[in-house]
Amino acid sequence: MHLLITSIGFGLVQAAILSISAMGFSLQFGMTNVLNLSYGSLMTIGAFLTLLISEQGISIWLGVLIGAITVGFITLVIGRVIIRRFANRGSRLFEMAIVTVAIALIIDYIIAAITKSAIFQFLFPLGSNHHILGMVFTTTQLDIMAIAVVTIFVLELVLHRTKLGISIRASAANGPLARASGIPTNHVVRLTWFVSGVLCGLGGALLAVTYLSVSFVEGTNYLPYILAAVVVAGIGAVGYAALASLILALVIEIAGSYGAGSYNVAIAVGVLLLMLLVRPRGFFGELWEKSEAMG
Amino acid sequence: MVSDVNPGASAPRYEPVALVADDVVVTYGGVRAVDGVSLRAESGAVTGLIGPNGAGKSSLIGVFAGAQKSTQGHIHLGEEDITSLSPYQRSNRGLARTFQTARVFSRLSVIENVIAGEKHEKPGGLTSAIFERRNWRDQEDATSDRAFAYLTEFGMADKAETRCGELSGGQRRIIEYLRVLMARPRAILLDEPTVGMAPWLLARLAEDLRRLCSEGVSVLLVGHEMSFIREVCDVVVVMANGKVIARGEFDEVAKNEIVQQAYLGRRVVGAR
Amino acid sequence: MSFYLATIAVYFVVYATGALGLNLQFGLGGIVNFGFIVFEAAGAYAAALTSIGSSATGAAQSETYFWGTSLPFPVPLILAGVVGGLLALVIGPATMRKMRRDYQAAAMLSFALIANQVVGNTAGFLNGGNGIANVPAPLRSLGGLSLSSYHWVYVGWAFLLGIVIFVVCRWISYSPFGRTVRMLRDDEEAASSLGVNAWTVRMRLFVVGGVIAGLTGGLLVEFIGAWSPGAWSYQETFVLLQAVILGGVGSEYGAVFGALIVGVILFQLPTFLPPIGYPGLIDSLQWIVIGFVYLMVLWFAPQGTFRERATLKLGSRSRRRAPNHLARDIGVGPPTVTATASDIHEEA
Repeated sequence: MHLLITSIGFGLVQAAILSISAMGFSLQFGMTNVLNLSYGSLMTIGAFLTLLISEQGISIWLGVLIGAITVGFITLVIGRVIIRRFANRGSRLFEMAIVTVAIALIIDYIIAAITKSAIFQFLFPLGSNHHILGMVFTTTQLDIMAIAVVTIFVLELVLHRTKLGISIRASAANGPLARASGIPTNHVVRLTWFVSGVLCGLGGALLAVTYLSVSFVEGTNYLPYILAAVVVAGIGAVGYAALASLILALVIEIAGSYGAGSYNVAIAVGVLLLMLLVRPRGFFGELWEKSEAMG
Repeated sequence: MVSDVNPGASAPRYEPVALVADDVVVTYGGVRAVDGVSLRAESGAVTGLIGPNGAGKSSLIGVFAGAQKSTQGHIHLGEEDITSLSPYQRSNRGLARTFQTARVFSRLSVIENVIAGEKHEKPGGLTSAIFERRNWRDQEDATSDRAFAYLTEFGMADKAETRCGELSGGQRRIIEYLRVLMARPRAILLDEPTVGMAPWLLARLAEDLRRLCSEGVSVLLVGHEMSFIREVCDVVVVMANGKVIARGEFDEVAKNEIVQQAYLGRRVVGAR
Repeated sequence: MSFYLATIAVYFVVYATGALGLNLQFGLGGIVNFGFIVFEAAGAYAAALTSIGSSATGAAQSETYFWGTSLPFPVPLILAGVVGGLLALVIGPATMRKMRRDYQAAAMLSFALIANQVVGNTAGFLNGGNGIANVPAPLRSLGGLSLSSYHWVYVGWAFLLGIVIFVVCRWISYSPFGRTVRMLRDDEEAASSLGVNAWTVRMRLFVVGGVIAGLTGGLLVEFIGAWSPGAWSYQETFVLLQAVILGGVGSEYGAVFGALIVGVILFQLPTFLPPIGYPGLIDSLQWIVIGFVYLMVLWFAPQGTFRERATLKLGSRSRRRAPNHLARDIGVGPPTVTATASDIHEEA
């Protein structure tokens, strides 16, 4: 029982990181229709920036913020300069997948070259332990979960209540039509790249803060979890991606605690493949589409 | 007129059957695209299916072909209920179809496309590709002779090795049609086969369809070119708003007031 | 020096057969198998475990793996192919369903990522991150050959196997089955309407690709004598994919050509350069270069060097039979400009 509670505890922390990352991915994917397999590499950039900044003695949360925003800009540049070029040329879906993998390789190995492929560990004050409902959390972990909750809340608010958010969802649902009804979609697309990049960088930074170690494969190795969460949720269903992340993270942690830790990622991909087998549109895909149709 | 270059070719021959739709309903997100349609395409006849845009004709063709799932209703090919069969299974039962936008294999040549329609008694599988090379070579020769003959008849012999991606729309439709002929089907679904075809080709197609009928094939033809429909079809079925609103010979149907109203865009209420 | 040349030669064959297998799946069939390397790995482990003997004996004592035996050549290699095919049979149902190509790509990529991590982190299965070493070279003691002579014999064997795989791939590609696969790739719905069972055709192709991958892995492991997760991380598939794209998607000659350029020149030759910077820097640089090469090739020349050939050429047929008589017997094609509709009716 104790094991179960501990797993749930850690699962919640994992869910926090995963939901932020998955929402960013879902936002980007829903808008661009491109499965960006370099998303993980971009997370790694966020992680390393956080590490670098914290080593300067600056507050780690500032490092996280700077890391996230920087990755937002990098994502925007890559999206507009590279990905959009290929997409506008009418590249087919799998060609885009190859393009994003190429970008991933470039980013990952530039980082590898710079860092000499080493694993970096850094010390960071964990804060005191808090006992909540029988689970033990450090201050940092609570901070991470708080960030996640706030992010989800803000994102949902923006997407569903603001004009900007509605533009984003309209553009995602149907680009040409949105353009015809006067929504400035280029502007909206740019913003989406940026925001999804920020979420990506934030996810990577939080990964670093949680595991206190970073290597150049960090983000890419995390990609299967994100893909699993997004597939379970369904395309474009940003809010549902958070829910799917929660469920997935808990399942992984609980199931994983009964075996050796290395099976976590296997469970994630098992879920992914199972979903593709059984329900490729995702559990919430139809729900989301229906809610979109109703306005 | 060519009906069979190699009478001895080993391909299954089918007996004539009727193609029947029985109270078919197709629902798209709340809207009934096909609303309880029953239709019978007799063997040895060309049945035309006409109606204004959005009448549900394409959906119905999709249901016949197996590409579209019906919410209710059955499709029969002769005695057999084929409702639960997938498209490739229906093809193997003798149903052939063309598509509204001619779908050819763009990276394959014209002759490869036409050959693609042929049904073999022992289709070339993976193992035969490696171990039975002499067998399928002979089969291929026979098939390509036949395909080449069809191409010649329809004026496309000189394009036999052109990649299909380079053909015009009208040419692609011919290729699709020839592909259908290669399969020696017993029932054919033609979805707008005449768009973009030169007049001499239309005449040839019309003749060919009459020939198929004389061999007992049932043909269901969706089209908009009224002169062609009138010339070729024995029976015409009119659909509007997902329902059948008239049925009969072309001239009768054309005089029908309800049909005229449907084409002019006014909503038809309660017609059957 | 001779050992270096022999190594390059073997790696060339290995890249070539890998590219041929991937070309079959991806070029011919449109299957985006981003996890191809895992099938090679499966074959390599199978060959390794069936020639090294059980972990309690001899040189293999420090390694822990779940099972081992010592079978004579060429059984381990055959088993390598079989295991590659079996893995395809298992993975296929989840990934060969009708789905967006990029989903399929992502799923296969995820499969590669997890397989590598799981195998690397699990002790006692395939000896975790250290992998399996001391794999005996097949028929090493035969004929009392010196080490370098043995290596060249192995090169000859590798080329033999490579040629067989090449021929088989061509046979498959230019057969009715190959045509069916291409039809399926170009337009699945149209192919289905012609009686093609998409599922079984794709699975068969996928399994054959898996067998070839397995054989490739077996061939490599029997030469280098060791195999570990570092050798088969997800990026390796992209060396092969690059070879296929550069060579020309759907072309067997292209796959071999691409393997030469990408596999040998890009990947093997730099290992013989004097070490710049710190050890491992060259490896990172290689991957950065591959990434850029991808972007360049996909942007400027995505069709590659060699084109896919048609499965049927009327020209080659007419050498066996003269089809000219057909046009005479059948009647004419389109009328000349002056003919009228009634003329056509009469000639029929």
